[in-house]
Amino acid sequence: MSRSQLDGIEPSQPPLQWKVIEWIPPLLTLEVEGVVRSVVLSGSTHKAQVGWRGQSFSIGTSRIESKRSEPSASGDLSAPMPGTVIEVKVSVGEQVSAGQVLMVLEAMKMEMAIRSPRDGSIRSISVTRGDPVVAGSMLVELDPPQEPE
Amino acid sequence: MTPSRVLVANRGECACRIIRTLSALGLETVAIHSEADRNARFVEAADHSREIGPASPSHSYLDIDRIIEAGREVEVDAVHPGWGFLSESPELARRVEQEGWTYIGPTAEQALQLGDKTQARALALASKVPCAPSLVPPGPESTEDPSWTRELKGWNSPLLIKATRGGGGKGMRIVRHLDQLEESIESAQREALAAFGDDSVFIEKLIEPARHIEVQLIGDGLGEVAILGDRECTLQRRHQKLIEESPAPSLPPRLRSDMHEAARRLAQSVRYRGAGTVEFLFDGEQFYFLEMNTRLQVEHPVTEQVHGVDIVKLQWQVATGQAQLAQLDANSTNGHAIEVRINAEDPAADFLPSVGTLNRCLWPQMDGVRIDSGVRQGDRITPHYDPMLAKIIAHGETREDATRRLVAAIEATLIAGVETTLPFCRDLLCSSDFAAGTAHTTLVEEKWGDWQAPQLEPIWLQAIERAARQLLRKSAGDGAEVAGCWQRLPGRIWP
Repeated sequence: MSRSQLDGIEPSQPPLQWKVIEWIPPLLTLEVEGVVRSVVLSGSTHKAQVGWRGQSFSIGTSRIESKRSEPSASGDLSAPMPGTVIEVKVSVGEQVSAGQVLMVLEAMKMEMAIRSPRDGSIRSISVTRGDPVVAGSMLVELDPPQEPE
Repeated sequence: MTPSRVLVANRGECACRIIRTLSALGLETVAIHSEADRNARFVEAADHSREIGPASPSHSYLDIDRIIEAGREVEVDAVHPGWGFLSESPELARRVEQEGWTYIGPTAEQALQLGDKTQARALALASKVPCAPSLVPPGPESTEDPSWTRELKGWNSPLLIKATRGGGGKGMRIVRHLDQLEESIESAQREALAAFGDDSVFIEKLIEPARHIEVQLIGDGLGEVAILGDRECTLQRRHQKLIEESPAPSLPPRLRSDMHEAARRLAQSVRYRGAGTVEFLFDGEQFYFLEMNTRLQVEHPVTEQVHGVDIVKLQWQVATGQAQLAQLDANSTNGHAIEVRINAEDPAADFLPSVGTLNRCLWPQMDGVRIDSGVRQGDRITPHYDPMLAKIIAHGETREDATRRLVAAIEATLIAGVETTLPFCRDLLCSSDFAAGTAHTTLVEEKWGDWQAPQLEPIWLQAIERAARQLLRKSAGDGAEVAGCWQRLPGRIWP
């Protein structure tokens, strides 16, 4: 078990004031710096999950991570969700404008229109109708708009 | 002879819920399932099961031929359609009765009339139930002639496109500018076709801001219709209900009873058989007929808690001719119940579906709290189906009491492995928007679009991690890690 995170408090900082108020597995009530909160705690010392206000966090021995991944930068034309391509509305070389629907994905019976983040032309299309995609799959590559000569 | 073996033509939480009551009634249950659901909780819960096709719903849960075939193989004598999928399909009702089996739902004729939203509107008008203006768009061959949109302009209001056979918000689009009309109609038609096997849509004047209030009823098919109160389902996001409660808060008593009687008239006009819900929009002064759902609804548990009934049991009694509905109506309500739906969606990322493995799924056991779950720890959540995993329902003496219990239950729940709507709904329940009880159906989109999950401060994560080192075993347990002997540990363990 690494202690790096646990011992990470600088000597200059006051020691962390905390205590267990109650532990009725999996409910844990802690007091930290005078504040009392309850969380759900389940797992082993090596890997545990914490539930707080309906969300969950993983805690390990050396680092604490939220499982939420970073949202992709806007303008990235990768699939925002896993699902199936049900319609491709553009073809390679086509000029598109910001907000135009490029394709339609479906997952869990809901449709989602994939719109162009900006004006441009379609450089490539990586999927066809009926293709399953996972979150992050590349869908379309966009070139900057062609300047009128 | 009373039927004894019931096929549940559904999956997930819905199938689990129905199997629970049918089993308690001493009936044998049969699950049908797709390849993807082979190890699902509802399949395990049923006495018998049949795999009927691949993951794709149109080749499994929407395939009537396969379902009837499975029913013959297992020799069932009744079918419960649940909600979603084929629950409002007149064809399923017809085919089931053709087999000589009992259909736990309305007659095929009633499902057809009331499920077709334009016909249902006509019936509602004939029963003196108030309706908003509406129009059916012409077929594709006549859309070049734009004159049909003239009437829409005359309403001087945003529009709502709805699937004629729709439900649950599928195939629905709001149109605020007429130049979006065509694209919206196409997309609604596509979604409707995928979800209901029928692409017809119609356009209604959008009533907004409005509250969504619905009346639960059950009819015996002979003209008796009992009203089981109302539910408020105003807190929605893109027509997907998030939180539901019964009774609807702060409604003038006269209006409430008018609404109940309007629902009763509509159901009586067709001698309705089975459980049904008449949905209304309430704009603060008037209520308007929205639609009638000829099936059990997702949010039925709040009614069950407040009225002390089991609606699935009532459905069974109606289907087998044993119902005593006249006695039901006199039932007084008891307290207030609120339900929160837990969907595998990421509320911090535009509610996109979240898939993965449920590596933790722990539910609280609390007074007045009911958990209706379709999943268990270790289940894989796939993108094939509706994202609803489970529901938490809290019952209390007052609305405040029920809210308090529900929030406590949410905070004692641990679901890990997929993102869920739970933290979002928790914050919504704790908000003044909810406390006021006067939210409207688009409030969540308008005010809660930027919601982000609250973060635990680093010192809290450190403290929890230290506590975990002391309290948890070294190897993974299965939920109940340690006995209660750790209670009231001495504090200040540092250093």
